[in-house]
Amino acid sequence: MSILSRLFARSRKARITIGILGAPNAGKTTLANRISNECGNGEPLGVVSPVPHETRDCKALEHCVISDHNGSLDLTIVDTPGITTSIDYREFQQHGLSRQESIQRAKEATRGVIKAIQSLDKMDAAIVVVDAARAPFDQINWTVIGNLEARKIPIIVAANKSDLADADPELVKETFQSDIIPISAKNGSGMNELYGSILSVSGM
Amino acid sequence: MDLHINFVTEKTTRKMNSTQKCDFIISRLKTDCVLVFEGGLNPEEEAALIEETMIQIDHQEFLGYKILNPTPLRMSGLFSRKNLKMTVIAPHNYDHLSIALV
Ligand SMILES: Nc1nc2c(ncn2[C@@H]2O[C@H](COP(=O)(O)OP(=O)(O)OP(=O)(O)O)[C@@H](O)[C@H]2O)c(=O)[nH]1
Ligand SMILES: [Mg+2]
Repeated sequence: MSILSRLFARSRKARITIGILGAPNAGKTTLANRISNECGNGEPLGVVSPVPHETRDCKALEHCVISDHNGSLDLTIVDTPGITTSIDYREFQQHGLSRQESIQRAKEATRGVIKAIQSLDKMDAAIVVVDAARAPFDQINWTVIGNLEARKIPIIVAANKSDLADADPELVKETFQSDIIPISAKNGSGMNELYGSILSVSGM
Repeated sequence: MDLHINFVTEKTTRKMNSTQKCDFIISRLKTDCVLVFEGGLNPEEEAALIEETMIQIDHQEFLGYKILNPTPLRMSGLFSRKNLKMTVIAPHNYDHLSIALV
């Protein structure tokens, strides 16, 4: 790309909204909080929890700035509820919630899934977070990737939890047939590659 | 539990719009039926089905569904989901049912 067209691309899209999408428990909020911590004002986007459907509403944080030698990009990162095809309140009871709390959480979770699906239309780019330690990978990732592709939204597939012994980033790559970035949202490995990839899909 | 499997041909789904397809699927899931779609569902139809399912989950009887697409034991480009023109949908508690491409 010529210097002129790079500058043009930058001035045109120097601010982008990037969605963090995927199945419940994939590590989306952990990643959003890390990006905020490393590039934003450090304000966490949400609570991280081993109980699925912890995030039940979309949450945006503006002005997370990442840069390379070409310049900088002002990101609005959007953490979204995990997308799924079924919600069984009894799963929450197994995590120690009462029946009443579990049903309440399940009701909020169903609304959260709808919000996550509807958020797809508002993104300029998306990071699809896959739990690389849980093969076979959630089928929902196909639905998410397919819908982003249909909307021509650039996608980065992050193979998360690569710090775990069971993680198989190569299988994530083979399964989804796309370039992937192995990361650990928890300990921070792969984040520079991820930022590089965000800059490159944003036309920088 | 009796296992009911419905093969849904492209001829059947061709005439349906997205809402009709969702109603068709969810009403059968509620009677514990596994559905195999010839030609598969496209991503937008899958998203519409998720939204409608989330509206209809009642936290008693109907808790959603699982996609049980056949997966080959070893992935290769030829058998990737992109090339697989088939979608298998089962009630949420059919996790134990495994379908493989051999
Ligand atoms: N080992 C490891 N664990 C991780 C990593 N990222 C997230 N986790 C753990 O995975 C669990 C879920 O993390 P969250 O960030 O809450 O996941 P989420 O995708 O936001 O989940 P929902 O909001 O429920 O959709 C937590 O127990 C995290 O500590 C990682 O890179 N490595
Ligand atoms: Mg979350």
